[in-house]
Amino acid sequence: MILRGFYSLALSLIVLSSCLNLKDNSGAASYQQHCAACHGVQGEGLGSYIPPLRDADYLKSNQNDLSCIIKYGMNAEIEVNGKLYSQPMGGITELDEAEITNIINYIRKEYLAQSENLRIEDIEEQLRNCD
Amino acid sequence: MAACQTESEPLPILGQHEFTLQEDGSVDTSYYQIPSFGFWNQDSALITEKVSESKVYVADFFFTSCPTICPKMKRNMRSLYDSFEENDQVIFLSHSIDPKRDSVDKLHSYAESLEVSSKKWHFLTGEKSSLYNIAKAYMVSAAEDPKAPGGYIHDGAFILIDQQRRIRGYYDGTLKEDTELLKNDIKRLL
Repeated sequence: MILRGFYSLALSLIVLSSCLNLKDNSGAASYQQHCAACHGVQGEGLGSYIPPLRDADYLKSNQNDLSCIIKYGMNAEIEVNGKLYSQPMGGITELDEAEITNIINYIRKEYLAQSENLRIEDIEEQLRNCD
Repeated sequence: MAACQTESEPLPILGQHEFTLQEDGSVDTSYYQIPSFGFWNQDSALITEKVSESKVYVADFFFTSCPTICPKMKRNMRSLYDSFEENDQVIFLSHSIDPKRDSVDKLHSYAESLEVSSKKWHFLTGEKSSLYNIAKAYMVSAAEDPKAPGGYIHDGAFILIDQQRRIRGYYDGTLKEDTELLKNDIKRLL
């Protein structure tokens, strides 16, 4: 009985762990599919044409806008790490809330050193309030 | 999009060619060539077909306020630029299809933002009809469309042109894989 309980716990941990991995990988894969072609595979940006995401002060101070920018794009001049960027960005309207959540959590973890994940409810709330 | 063939075969020569039967029975082939042109680049220099004399070049069509495919295309073109930066036999011609908004000054800022030199990568503007005619000559689409993001639709193609201004390949400029293939094909023409 105890042994069965142990196996059950181990199995749950394996399943949980694989779900978490899947979520992490999903954010990475979505980033590479939808974002990397412009922002770079390492989030490095390009000259003063495309802003970097890695260590971007703009992202740190405008975190709640990121979901709306991803979904609906941006057409305003912004300053990122002391450089001005004015190239318009098209929105990726086909992304759903879950994909946007995974992409944002990937960006937060990989490029902004922020380990706590945002919840899909947070992103849904942000998307309801886009300008 | 890119031609499917093995490395050992020469790249195809694309376009409609003219064949003339000679008196001795042989056939003389006159290959399709990109016609003469004259546009202004980001430094207000008049750029004609002479800029590509004896050079291989990559052409594309874009507009600076394009929010969709152009940033991808420009990142990929910049990667080609980096690969051939030291080789003066390779140049790049990016034609704006929005000459109304894309003034020389605007193109100058655009080139600066990409941190590239006007000796190698020309961003071209000029008469609207001339720009749209040259797009036809490269056999790519470019048109105004108020419903499209930014107001224009255009092909995302990179067009490979050889030293005789003949079309040698079309590549999807939004794709990294096609850009790598193009990089390799440029080397094959040098």
